[in-house]
Parts: sequence; structure tokens; C-alpha cells
Amino acid sequence: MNTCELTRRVGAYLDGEMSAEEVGRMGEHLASCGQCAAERVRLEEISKGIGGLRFEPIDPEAVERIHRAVESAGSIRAMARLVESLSALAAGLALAVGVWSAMFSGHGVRAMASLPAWEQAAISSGGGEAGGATGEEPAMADWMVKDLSAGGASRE
Amino acid sequence: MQAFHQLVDAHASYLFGVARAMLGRSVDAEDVVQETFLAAIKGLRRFEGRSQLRTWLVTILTRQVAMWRRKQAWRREAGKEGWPLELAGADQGGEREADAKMDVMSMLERLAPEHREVLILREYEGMSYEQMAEALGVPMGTVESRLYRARQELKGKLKGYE
Repeated sequence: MNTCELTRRVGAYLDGEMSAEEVGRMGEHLASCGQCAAERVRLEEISKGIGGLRFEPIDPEAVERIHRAVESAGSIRAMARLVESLSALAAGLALAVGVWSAMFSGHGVRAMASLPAWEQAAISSGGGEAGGATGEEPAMADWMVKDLSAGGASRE
Repeated sequence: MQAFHQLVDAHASYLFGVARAMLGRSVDAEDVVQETFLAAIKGLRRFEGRSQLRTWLVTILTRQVAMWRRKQAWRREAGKEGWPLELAGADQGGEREADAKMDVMSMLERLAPEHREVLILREYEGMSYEQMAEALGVPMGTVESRLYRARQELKGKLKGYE
């Protein structure tokens, strides 16, 4: 016997997965097709059988294991979030300290004092450029001569 | 965290039943249910409330079952080991109805895993085709055709049993 081509869609009809138009057409078809009507009955029996299955409840010890696993997973995630937050905070503080140090510390002054006198003069006067600040060049030249002479004397 | 523990208490047994139906062994079902809740903890923020919470958990469980099978190199013949007959409330509806349920159960275990899966999701959990498509990661057309083949296979086995 040839299988009615609509038999394949009886399941979708019972599952409520058809459009209103399709439902109407299938409803009419079921009234006249013995094959599809029998298929509907069989599928309804299967649906009732599976839907009515009842299984033994989960072992209470298994539920306790799940609770412990969930608790452990939750603690790990909380710790990970805490570490992430602390790292971000530390990075922010390091950045703030670095900026503060660059802006307000005396590092620049101390570094300046460690330089030779002629170099301090050069920096202060803006020398190092050809035709630098006027009036200060003789002073810089004087420092240079004295400093170099002192160095030369010490080498002899 | 307390709320999540309440979630476990509310849904563990049901998920266990679905997992048992899909996998056939209590010990395997317990493992999969545990993995389901752990995955749910991670993904709880992504739950948009478009479906019921239980359906969302069953979706996660279905994927965990698929992962479990890949890990365990699931064999079709596993059903031949048989399920322990752990029907709860077997006297409900009388002996005749209990016999009918045992028939369905024993035939379900003999189905191909992917057929057993779609039948459980549709008939036991009541998922729509769209929800099943999402849970299984297949198009809706595949869900419908797989359900058709699953029902035909189960019909054939039940017919042979009669």
C-alpha cells in the first residue's frame, strides 16, 4: 500500500508546529485519510507513553555532591573576580603614583645638582643651540675653561 | 549563591530524569546533571528569560549529553546492557498501564541515541521544534525529520513487541 505523502506531517500537526492554514488542511485530510488517521492515533499513544514516564528521583547524595560542586565553583569565581579587581586597582595606583612622581617630586632638581657646573649652566641658559641666550655665554665659557683646566691639571 | 542552591533543589530530580532517559544509566545521568549546573552557573548572566528556566536548563543538559557522548565514545549497543527497572510509582494506573509504560521504556532504550533524544525532548520535556533546534544545534527542518524517523523507529519496535 502506498504511504500517503501527508503521513510525514501528522507529527508536526500533533506537535502544534503548523500554521493555522496548514492545520485547517490537515484537519480536513485526517477526516478522509485512513492512513493518516491511524498514524495520528499511534503517535498520540507514543506521546502519552513517553510523557507519562516517571523515573526514580535523583539520589540525595548525588544532590549533595552537586551542591558542593556548585559551592566550590562559586567560590572560585568569586576569588577570580576579587583578584581581577585588585589587579586593576593596583595598576591604577601605579599609574597615579607614576604621574604624581613625574609632576611633583624633586627628582629633577636632585638630578640637576649632580651634573658638572658647566653643564648646569648650559642647561639653565638654554645653551647648546648656536647663538644661545645673550649675556650668559661668557659665564658659560668661563665655567667651561675653569672646569677643563681643573680636569687637565688633575691628569698631569 | 543561595539562590543557585535553591535552583539545584528545584530542578535536579527533573534533569536527572531527562538525563536518565537519554543516557540509560543513573551514574552517568548524575555526572551530566552536575556538569549541567556548573555550566549554568557560568552562563546564568546570558539567560534572557525568553524561555522557562527549566527549559533553559534542559537545553544545557542536552549539550552536556552530546559532550558526554563524544567523551565516552557512545556505542549504539549500550542499550543492550539494559536499564535497571527503577519505575517509581509503577502501580499508578494499574498493572496494564504499568506494562504499557515498561514497553515504551524498554523500546526507548533500544532506539538510536539521536532518536531517543528528540523523543524525550519533545514528549517528556515538551519542547517546541525551535527550542529543540537550539538545544541540539540543528535546523528546525532537521528536528522535524529526525522526530519523524524516531517515531517510525519506535512504532516499529513496539509493533514487533506486541
